[in-house]
Amino acid sequence: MKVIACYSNKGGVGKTATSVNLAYAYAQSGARVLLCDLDPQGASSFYLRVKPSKKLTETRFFEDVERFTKAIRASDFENLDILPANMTFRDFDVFLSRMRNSRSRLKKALRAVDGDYDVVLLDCPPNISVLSESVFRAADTVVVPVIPTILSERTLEQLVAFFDENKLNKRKLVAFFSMVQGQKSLHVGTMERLRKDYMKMFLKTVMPFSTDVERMGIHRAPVRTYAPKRPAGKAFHSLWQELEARGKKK
Amino acid sequence: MTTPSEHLIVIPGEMDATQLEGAIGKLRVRVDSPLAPIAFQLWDFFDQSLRQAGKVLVEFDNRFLLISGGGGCVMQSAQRSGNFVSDLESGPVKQGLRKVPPLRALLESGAGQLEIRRIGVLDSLQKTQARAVVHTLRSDDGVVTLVLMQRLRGYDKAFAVLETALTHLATAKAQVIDAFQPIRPNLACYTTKPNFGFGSDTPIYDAVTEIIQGFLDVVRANEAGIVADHDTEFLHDYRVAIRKIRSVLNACKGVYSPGQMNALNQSFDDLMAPTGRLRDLDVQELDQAGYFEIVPENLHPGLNLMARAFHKQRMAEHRKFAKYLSSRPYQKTIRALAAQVSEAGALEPGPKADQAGVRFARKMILKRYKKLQQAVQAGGKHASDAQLHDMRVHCKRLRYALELFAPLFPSEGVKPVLKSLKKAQEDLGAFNDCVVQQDALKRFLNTHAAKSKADSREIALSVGGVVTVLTHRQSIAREKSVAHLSRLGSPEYQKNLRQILTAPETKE
Repeated sequence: MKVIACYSNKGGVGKTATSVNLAYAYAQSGARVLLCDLDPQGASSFYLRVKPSKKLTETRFFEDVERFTKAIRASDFENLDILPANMTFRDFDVFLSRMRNSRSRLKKALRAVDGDYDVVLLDCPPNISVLSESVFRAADTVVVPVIPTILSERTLEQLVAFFDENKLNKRKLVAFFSMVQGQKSLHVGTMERLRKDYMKMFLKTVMPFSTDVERMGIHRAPVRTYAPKRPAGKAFHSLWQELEARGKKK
Repeated sequence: MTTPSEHLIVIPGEMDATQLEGAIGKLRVRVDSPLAPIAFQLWDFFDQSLRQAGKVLVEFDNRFLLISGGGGCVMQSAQRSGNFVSDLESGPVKQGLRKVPPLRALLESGAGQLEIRRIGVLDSLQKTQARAVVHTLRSDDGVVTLVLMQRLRGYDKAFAVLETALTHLATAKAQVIDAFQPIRPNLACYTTKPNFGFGSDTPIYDAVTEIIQGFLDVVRANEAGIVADHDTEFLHDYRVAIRKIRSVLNACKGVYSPGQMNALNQSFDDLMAPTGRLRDLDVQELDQAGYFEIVPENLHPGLNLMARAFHKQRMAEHRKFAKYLSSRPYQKTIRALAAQVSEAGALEPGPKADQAGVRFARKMILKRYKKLQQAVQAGGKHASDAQLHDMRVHCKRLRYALELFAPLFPSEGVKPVLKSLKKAQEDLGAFNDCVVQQDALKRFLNTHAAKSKADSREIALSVGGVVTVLTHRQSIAREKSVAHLSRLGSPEYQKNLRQILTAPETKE
């Protein structure tokens, strides 16, 4: 089972859109996929029309493996299941820090569904926290959407520094440029600089700024179900292809 | 898991999906447009072992769907190299068919057009909570609907709601097979064991005539299958049915007049005679497959040469026999025979015709048992091949007599007596097979003109290898046979046999 986390310590960079569309691409390729909506805002669940489960209001969420597996719901797409967001338990960090050995809790919970799924995608909330650290340790790959702006550059630096400080494996970090507007020279310049600075960390795929992605909220479905040949649809597919290729190299 | 687990509901006739609305609470049903119709076939074996087990095998869209009597189902690819179970790809359908006779081929038992529609059960967010695929099978004669429900993870309640709604439209689980009746109403029932209606007070003339009539129907039922060459069991059943008739005639002297008896014996001998060569070649081909497993690979080239030669001979013999079965003289003869047997009083009665069946059968069975006992005693532990063959014949005669006249005796008593007899016969059969196979191989070696000296050498080497293994097997089968036969001669077996023959309910 491969665990892919979609993470950024900055909000509004396209994490949820990436998680949902990547999960869909993996499922379409035949892999059995579980998308875990760890963001309390529950946008992934919203996009896939899945209501939050009442059972997730229990405080022993990750501790109780049975509750974890029972909370999983099938999506409308073949091979794609979702663990809906816990809408009422707003702070996973507090929850995790309450527990002993909280860092291994997520791993333990995921082990319960090992065998059921080929790929588990984690849609993470935007902060660096106890949960994030759990995620970094549990994941094989941490996909980081980066808007080519100064602020995003800073957050990427912070993330890399966090990995250094906590002796986490930086090779897990896979970044790509998100919400790119090619006509902005700032975007173009930032991309050039970051590609130089971070060398192999960045994928070639560039996710354009697109209303097709915003329309996910209307369609409540992955982009490729309604705009497969539009630039955003193609970019999500290419993102999946690159990740697959990297996974095979590993 | 993400792959939906499936559950089948069988609905007699068409299903009206709109009937589901209102039966599923706050949820609503979405019915997709039907896909373009495709062909479907229903499959069974000639002896209808699937139908008798309450199972249905449907093929459509290059898939097999096997429905069990309880309504469970499994599916797999319908890719196959032939129509025998061993020809199917490995999978749950093949696994589900593992108990059917391996020598029987699947035959089409129905066909028509299949329409597939998907239905979804949606919540207020338009999210699918349960799915089902509706398969409507239409033949010229009727319709049956199969609904394959898909359980989606986390939506057990919606699944249960849909299941309840569909079950109201469905047939009871035990009647799955009946729901298919309308689409293949003319399916003839076949059995190698006809049900006889005679009882202990039936005169032996009527009982024997009924037995002959029943097995003559079996003979006729197999003719088409032999000609079409679906599998080798058609000829086998054909021969067994004739053998049973001959056996009962042989055992029932005095039931018909001597002239009538001679005529009947002659007729059935004449029917049996042309079947022998083809059956030998069938057996040879069936055995051939096993030879590859018992000799090392370096002897396989010779086996291949031999297999090709046998196959050629078999095909020629089959053509000859199929032509004979389809010929006017044969058809005329068998129709006349069937008419004579089924016409009341047409067979000239003999001096014992009016004896009560039970009295006659009791004497005859005891006489056959005595003959078996004598044969076993004569052979002893070191019986010769010829003596073992003799015992086998007597075993078979006793078994046929017990089976054919079983309606006259208490069934719970007959079963264990027959069971011991069958075991002994199986071992004797294995022994006999080894002898027959060796003879056939040696005969082949002596008579087959190979294309070259090299071929001739390859064949001789392979035959040598096979014969060595068969000789070893023969000695094992011999030991087992002798052990089983000694049990048949035991006072306990004798007591059991006498008990059923003289049970109160068999008294005249």
